[in-house]
Amino acid sequence: MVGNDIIDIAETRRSTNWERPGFIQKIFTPKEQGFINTSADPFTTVWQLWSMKESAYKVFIQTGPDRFFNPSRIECKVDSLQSGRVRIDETSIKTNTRINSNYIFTTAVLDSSDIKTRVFQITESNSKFQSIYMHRQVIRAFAKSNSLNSAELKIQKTTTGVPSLFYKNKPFNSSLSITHHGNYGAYSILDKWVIL
Amino acid sequence: MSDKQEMIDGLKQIVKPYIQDDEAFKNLNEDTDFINDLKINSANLVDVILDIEDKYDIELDNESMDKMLNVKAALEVINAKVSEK
Repeated sequence: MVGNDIIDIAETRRSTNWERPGFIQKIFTPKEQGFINTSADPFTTVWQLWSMKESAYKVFIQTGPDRFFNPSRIECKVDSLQSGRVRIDETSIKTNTRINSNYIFTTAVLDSSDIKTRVFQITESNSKFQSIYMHRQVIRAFAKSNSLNSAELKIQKTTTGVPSLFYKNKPFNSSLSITHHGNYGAYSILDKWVIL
Repeated sequence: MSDKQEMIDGLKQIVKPYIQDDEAFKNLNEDTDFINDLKINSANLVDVILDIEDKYDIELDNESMDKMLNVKAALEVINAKVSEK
């Protein structure tokens, strides 16, 4: 299973004030707060941890629980600049984070599965259409890199919001995750898949 | 009924700065989902929670937050917390 999350840095600076009183306390465990407090760049650390939580949640939700909103139920541990581990209840999830001046992007996997991932720049500015736009981009890119007919590819979401890919109305035995925020979007898919 | 409508209107004011789907906002009702319908991003959902705490002078612990994914659940949690005061 795979989950991902992208954070557009400029969009986050514009839309979210992480320094608002109570914000950090609501979403981070005491251990995570300690990690943020000692960070040389708390802004980046806050959003790095947030993207780890979001991507791990997207893996966890595929294991069958109901949706929930409780960020401090999800605890992150950063092992190195890139890699980390996230614990949700009894489940441990591995994460990999890429940070540059434009975005913070994390992928999460349940085991050591190989994944293929691709980041896009989004040109659709109306947030209402961004998710449709992303689905189109994913289908186009996936069809191209796997020599499939894009007209036969479809993405459907489950009731918990997990996207899955279909080819000629047949499901894939794989796991797919799609994320978008501000001007950036990405998809990640388990590298080994077959059409069922 | 008017009480409930008042509560919904109060919540509507709170979520307004964070919504990304005007149509769903216009039609906001008990079944409206903050993330799926209003397209509030999850970081801003934290702002919604903090704004609710400020407005109603209550504290939402992690357990209450856990369920607050739609208008109905939010109203239930607010009512429960307000009556505890």
